[in-house]
Amino acid sequence: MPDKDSCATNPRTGDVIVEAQGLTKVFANGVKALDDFSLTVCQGEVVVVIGPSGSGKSTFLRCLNGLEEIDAGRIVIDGVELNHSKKNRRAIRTEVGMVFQSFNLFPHMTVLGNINLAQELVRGKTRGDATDTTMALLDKVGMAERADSYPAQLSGGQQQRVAIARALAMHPKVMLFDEATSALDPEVIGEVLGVMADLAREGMTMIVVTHEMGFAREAGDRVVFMEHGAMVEQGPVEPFFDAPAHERTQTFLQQIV
Amino acid sequence: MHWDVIYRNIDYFLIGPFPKAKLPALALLVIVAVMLFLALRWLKEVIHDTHLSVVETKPTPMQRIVLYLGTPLLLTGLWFLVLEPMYPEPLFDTCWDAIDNFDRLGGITMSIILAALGIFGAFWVGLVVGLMRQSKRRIFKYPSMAYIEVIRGVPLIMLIFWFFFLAPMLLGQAMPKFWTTLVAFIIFTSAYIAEIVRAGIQSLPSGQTEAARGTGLSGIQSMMFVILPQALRNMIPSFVNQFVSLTKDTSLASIIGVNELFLSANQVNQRELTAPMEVFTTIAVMYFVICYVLTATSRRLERQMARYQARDR
Ligand SMILES: Nc1ncnc2c1ncn2[C@@H]1O[C@H](COP(=O)(O)OP(=O)(O)OP(=O)(O)O)[C@@H](O)[C@H]1O
Ligand SMILES: [Mg+2]
Repeated sequence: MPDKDSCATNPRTGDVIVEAQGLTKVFANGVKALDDFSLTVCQGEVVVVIGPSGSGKSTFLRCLNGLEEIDAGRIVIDGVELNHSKKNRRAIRTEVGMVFQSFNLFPHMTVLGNINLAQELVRGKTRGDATDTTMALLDKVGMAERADSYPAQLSGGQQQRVAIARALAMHPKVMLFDEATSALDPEVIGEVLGVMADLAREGMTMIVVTHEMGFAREAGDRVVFMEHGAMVEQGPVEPFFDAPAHERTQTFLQQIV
Repeated sequence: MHWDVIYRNIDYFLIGPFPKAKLPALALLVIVAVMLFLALRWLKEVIHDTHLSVVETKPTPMQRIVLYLGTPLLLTGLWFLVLEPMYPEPLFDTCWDAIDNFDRLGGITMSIILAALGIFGAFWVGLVVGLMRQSKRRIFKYPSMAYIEVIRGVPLIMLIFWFFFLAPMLLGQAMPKFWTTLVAFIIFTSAYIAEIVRAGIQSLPSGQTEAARGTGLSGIQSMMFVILPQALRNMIPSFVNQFVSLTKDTSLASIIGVNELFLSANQVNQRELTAPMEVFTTIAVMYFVICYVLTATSRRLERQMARYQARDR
């Protein structure tokens, strides 16, 4: 399993950037969504998280950027511990970009406004600087000519690409993708996955929850299989898919392929 | 039919017992108020512009020049070039004169002033109470819950009486009846506004807050720039309902003797005695017109703001 040493010795990756240890999350209704779950992610690594519905994948990502409070365990991102300190919490939210299944663009703002907002409010950029960054990012995700559109005027794939640009605008150190393509029509899934694969190639650290095994094989470095809030198995992409060690993993992979 | 009664008393319907000689002073006061309002809006725009980019639709530069420089300029010009020469007395004294005679103002003007100030006050008080109601902190949540429940459980007419008798006890002296009723109106309506605000905020998908907080916005920032702008738009129809109610309820101020449209009409009726049907039909139409303007304006506002919902996914 990757730790400080393996991160440093792997030529593809840098130091440890995400450290989650013994995460436990019990919801008010008694559901144990995370059960002593640990994961270490190296800089520049792309970790694909898979698992059956209800296994706690979303909960894990939401805990990582503080949208859910953990009941036990420790989260350290780029040396900052996610604890009760409001300052740390906000710092981590700023450093961790999140892309949701349902896009969650702000419908009352144009594409430009959506991406400018946090840059100006959180990073304190002037409108001009923010717009420069925004336009560069929109160019990257192929949405530059739609900067003045409202979200409702865009297709799902376009909205999701804007959402990715919005997260990137904060120059995050880690990007979290929670089933970013699950709500999309099949023909536009590719355009979003393409943007994600580009990001991976550029060396962005990514934790990706997805059912797209093609993407996992192409862009992923490591696959993590979760069930009942715990890790069943993890390993580098090729061996994981070709020869999963666990019987549970085998049946799951057979089901989804 | 005695429609001539209306014709002869039309001024009383419009301004009540306000002395007609002081009318120019009243007009002047209105002008001053408008100038102040425009100046403040202009200031707000300037601050907004240098700070943040959250306003999506901005007036074009031309519109801006006309609106924010032209209007105050025009009004200042009017003041010094037209009004000053016309007036023998200093203008500020004249304005003061109008304020001095304020308690003699009545008729539809008073009704509109009561409704407008009531709506304005109730909106802000209601917004604050509604946000407090949404808060997780108990010191905010429980007092606002109590406020909403209590106020919604009593009739408006009782609140008016209550403040009428309470004010002298608290202040040691009588508060002008106008202010007593205004306070009652604001408090009464704000409880309903607060509930509308709460429901409006709750009806937004939680993903909006999460996306906002997720990019590092503080709770207050995400409320101000992401949640409230959307929620307030959805609330407009409910707000207007409440404001139309309030506008009609201003007639209740007559029971403690505030001279507004209803009381003025009643006075005309008792003076003339020949035309009750005509008198009350007239004020019915007047109330209707005010309320209709309110709803029509809100429909326009809604249409403008619904732009972004052009296509629903
Ligand atoms: N806010 C919540 N309150 C109560 N229970 C919750 C809440 N959110 C999630 N859960 C429960 O926690 C468990 C894990 O949920 P989670 O959404 O993390 O699963 P998932 O792996 O993302 O599933 P899916 O693939 O369907 O998205 C589920 O049993 C779910 O019902
Ligand atoms: Mg999920």
